[in-house]
Amino acid sequence: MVKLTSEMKDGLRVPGKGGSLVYLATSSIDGKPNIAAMRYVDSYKDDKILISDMFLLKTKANLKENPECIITICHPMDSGRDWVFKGKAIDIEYGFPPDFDWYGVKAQEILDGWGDWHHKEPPDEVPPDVVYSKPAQRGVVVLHVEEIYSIENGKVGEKIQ
Amino acid sequence: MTVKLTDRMKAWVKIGCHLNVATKSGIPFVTVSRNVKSVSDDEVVFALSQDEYSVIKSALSENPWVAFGVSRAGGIRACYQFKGKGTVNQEGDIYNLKVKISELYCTKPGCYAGQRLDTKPAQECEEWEHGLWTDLPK
Repeated sequence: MVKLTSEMKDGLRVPGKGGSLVYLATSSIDGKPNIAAMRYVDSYKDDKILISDMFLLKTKANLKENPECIITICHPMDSGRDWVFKGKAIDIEYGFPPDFDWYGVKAQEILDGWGDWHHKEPPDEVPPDVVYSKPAQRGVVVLHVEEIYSIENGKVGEKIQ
Repeated sequence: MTVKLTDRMKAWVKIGCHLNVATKSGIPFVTVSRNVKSVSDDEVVFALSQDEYSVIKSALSENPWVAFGVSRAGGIRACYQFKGKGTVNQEGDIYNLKVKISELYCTKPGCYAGQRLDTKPAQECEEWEHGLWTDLPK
């Protein structure tokens, strides 16, 4: 069973709070991959990673047919945060039954904690030419981490947990 | 559709990329390429080391699709996603993964998220991009 370390939890927070920019990687059920960068990131308990669903399109479509998912550090690289988190994810959207359970966490506790992320942690570190005009959060992606491997230079693919 | 990467895209891709491949049944595997051997209008060749290649070898052998985005600050400064089919050619202990890009997307958060760019004529795409960003990697 995977247990995120405190170093990983710190590294996974939103960039402006000392965390990292991450890539969220998914695939359609017939194997067409997709990868997109995300900035609203947090961890929950010892084996969950959360990402805000604000502008998800293909990622959302993929997760609705295939929960296999990877979150990995995009920036900074080669600074001790060279992790790839692999597992199963779902987009817990508004409207889910409050007691919907995803590997031990309930939809309501996720939406209560991270369902209004923009106001909780305004994106004040985002460059003006990248910032978006109006956030519209639809839910929270919850990755249940089952495996962690490395993308450290020279050790790519080595299993960490 | 015809893909023609802009000069800005080419410059950012050269700093290295995160690559996502998947098995035929949709299990993803991510690796990184720190060394980009060449970039042309619609092809990128990643020079992968043994360990970088080992992560994707099995999935790539059954399914050629590759999706990639720019590593490091490119994740926020170079808001593109590139998709295409890859082939591998071994050269000593280096594995050259050549991806023929067939789909190109904008991933800028907001109204342009998911905008397909390879459907635009090349000049229009370049002008559109120029209206958003002009910066190159440092």
